[in-house]
Amino acid sequence: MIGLTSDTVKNESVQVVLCRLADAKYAIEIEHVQEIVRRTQVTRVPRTRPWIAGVINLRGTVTPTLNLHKRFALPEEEVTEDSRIVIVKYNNQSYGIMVDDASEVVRVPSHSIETNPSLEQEDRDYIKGLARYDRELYILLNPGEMLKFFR
Amino acid sequence: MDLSKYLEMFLEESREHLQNLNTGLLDLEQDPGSVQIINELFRSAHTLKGMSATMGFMNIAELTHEMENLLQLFRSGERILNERQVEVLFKALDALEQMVEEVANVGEITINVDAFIDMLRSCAQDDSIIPSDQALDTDDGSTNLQDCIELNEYEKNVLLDAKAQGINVWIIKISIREACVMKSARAFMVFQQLESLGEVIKTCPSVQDIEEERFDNSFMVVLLTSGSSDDIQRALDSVSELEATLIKAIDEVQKKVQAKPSEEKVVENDSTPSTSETDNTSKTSQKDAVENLAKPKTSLVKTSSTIRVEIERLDALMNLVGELVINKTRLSQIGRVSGNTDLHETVEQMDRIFMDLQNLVMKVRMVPVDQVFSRFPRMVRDLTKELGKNINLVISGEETELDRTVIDEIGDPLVHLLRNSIDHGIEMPKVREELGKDKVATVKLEARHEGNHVVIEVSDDGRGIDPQKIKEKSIAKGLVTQGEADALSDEELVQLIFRPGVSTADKVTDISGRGVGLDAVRTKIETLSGECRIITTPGKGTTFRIQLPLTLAIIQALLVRVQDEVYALPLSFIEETTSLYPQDIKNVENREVMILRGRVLPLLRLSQLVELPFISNKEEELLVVIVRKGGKSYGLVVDELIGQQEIVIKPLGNVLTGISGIAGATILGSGQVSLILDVSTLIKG
Repeated sequence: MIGLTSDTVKNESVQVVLCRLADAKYAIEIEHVQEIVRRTQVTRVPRTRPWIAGVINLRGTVTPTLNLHKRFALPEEEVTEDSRIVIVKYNNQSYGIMVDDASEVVRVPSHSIETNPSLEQEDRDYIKGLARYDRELYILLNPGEMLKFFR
Repeated sequence: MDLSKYLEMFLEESREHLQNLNTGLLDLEQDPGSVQIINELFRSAHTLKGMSATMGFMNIAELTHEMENLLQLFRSGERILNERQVEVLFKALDALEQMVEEVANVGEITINVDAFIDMLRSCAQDDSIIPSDQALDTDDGSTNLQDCIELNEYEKNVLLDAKAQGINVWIIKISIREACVMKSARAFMVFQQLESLGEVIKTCPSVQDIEEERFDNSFMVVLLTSGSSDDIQRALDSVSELEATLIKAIDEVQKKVQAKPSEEKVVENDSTPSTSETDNTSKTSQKDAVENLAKPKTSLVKTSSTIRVEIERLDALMNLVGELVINKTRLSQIGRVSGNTDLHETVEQMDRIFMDLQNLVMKVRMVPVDQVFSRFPRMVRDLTKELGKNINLVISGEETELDRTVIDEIGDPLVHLLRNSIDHGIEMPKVREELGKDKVATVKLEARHEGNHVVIEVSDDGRGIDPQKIKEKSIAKGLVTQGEADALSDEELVQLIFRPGVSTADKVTDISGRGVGLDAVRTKIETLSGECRIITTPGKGTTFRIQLPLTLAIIQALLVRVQDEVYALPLSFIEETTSLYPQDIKNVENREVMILRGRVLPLLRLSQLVELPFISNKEEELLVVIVRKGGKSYGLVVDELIGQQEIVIKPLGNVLTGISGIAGATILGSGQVSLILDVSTLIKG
């Protein structure tokens, strides 16, 4: 963990779930992640936005799920052993995000997160910042803003 | 102490008490002398006062306190509420209702109650000056009621004889307006009127004094008559320049005289008016207190068999049962496939228990429609006063039970229908008389079970609806073409009234007539998987018939497949299923139609409606589900009819709402989510 002692980690770090969509890397703060489940059958919901994959059966609760590949114009990969659905919970509203991999939960020191990146692009409120971890750059997603994708 | 956790309970109980007060006042309006009703009102008001004071809602407490004060004056039953006082009580009640809703919605009260308190006080006061037989204004000296009804032996005997013959005794106070120049003439007219009704046995001051105008502005009359208070009131109303003419029956008083002569101040007149009054009220309130103590005991026995449960808990219970039902279906599938007879038997037994459990939970969620109906008498009363119509609202079947989810939703549609009937259906009393109808119109509100449905009917004996008028309006609005309209029967024509923009009202009032009401009613009822129809006979009356499912949580549905997707179609939308060959499809104005037993129905492809790519199957037989939307039928092409099944309705999650065509989702035995189609929004137009 790039030479950080556990003390500094505890004080100034954020725990995030790292996930992969095609070759793009994303991070979601763990406090907003309810659980991570294997890919299950998604029922398409007609008359909705193209990036709404549909709904899944999460132990008896019907949960809407996003297909961010479509939203971010990423190539869609085949479902593999690694494919997951990250269940995000924000303000008592749950939804899923289909990802190609979500295998790691790590602590990222706060100073490695740039919360206000000058992306100079509009409609990017769903990006909370950029996180540097293990010499890679992860896009830190904003679960609250992503609720807007359903509208 | 943190009171917030009691807030829900407070609101709930307040609403209940307000409803009791409303009903009580309505009853009291019909029977103003009933001590029993007043006592009930008093109890509700008192509880409400106590609760709101505990919760710190002083405005509510103060206003209720003032209402109590007014009611207190009439508790002995010796004085009777007049119309104005009832009106003021109603107004105060409305203010209370508003305040309670404010507490519920914003958590604080913004309404200023001072005006209402003043109103209650003033009407309590003006009452104590005018009508009372005891607390008569003694400033004007001679005209004390005590003197008036100090009857001699002969007069007492006359009174008793009269009573024996069933003739009522009335003490009437007549006040003549200050400005009146010929008071004795007015007095003479009053005597003339009263004598046409019965016998005036005593006046105060004496008849001679009255004739010589030796009285202030008022005098008292003791009248024996077999007529009712209305008769007397009517007779007196014919004399002008009379003010505040109040009437009091004294047969109750006389009864008491005979029972305990020593107590009765009215006849015996030993004590001064003021002390006798306090004596009297303290006695009656003691008596009432005893009654009050006795009554809660009996009601305690009644209510102890029920408990109050939070709706959320019932919903959670329902959800769990829903889960069980899903898993049960799955288990029975496994049982069938495995061929293990023991497993199969066990599953079958479980099946029966589940069925009972499900029915029980559904029953727990059922509430009587009375919860909705009970607010209508008040509404109808206000409307009839406003419109100057004479209407008798007859409610029946209020004990019929419906699922809570349905109950919450049907209030508004019923308000619309009742307003419609009262505003448009019922003619003015004059018109009704000319038509030879009963001057008092009847509006019926009826609920009853019909198979797996509950039917609610709103009917009136008013003017009915002329199908031709609807036809003209619909054509004018472009809803139907002349040709289409000609093809419709009268019964089908009147159903057009549920279409947007159609109204038979010639003028728009603030009650109804904009042509949006019935459309809204239909939409609402259809989202509840219900149906509404109208049955009308011009000149005779109109009936609106609403048919509702017993519950919305678990419904019967037909599972259908299009390509590789499975959808659930609620049976309430389905008329029948049929099949046809591609060559049977006709084209009318570039739209596909089918012919079913002579009827031409629009044909729609479910695959297209749910945005699936079009795959043509030229030769194969097509499966068609005939669905109904707003009284019109459509053919819906599907790829497979999987079968009928009981499904548990689940929401699509709170981030995904308001998708047209989708009513919700359900989880199939396989664990797969299937969407429930909402035919009323799935099909456009």
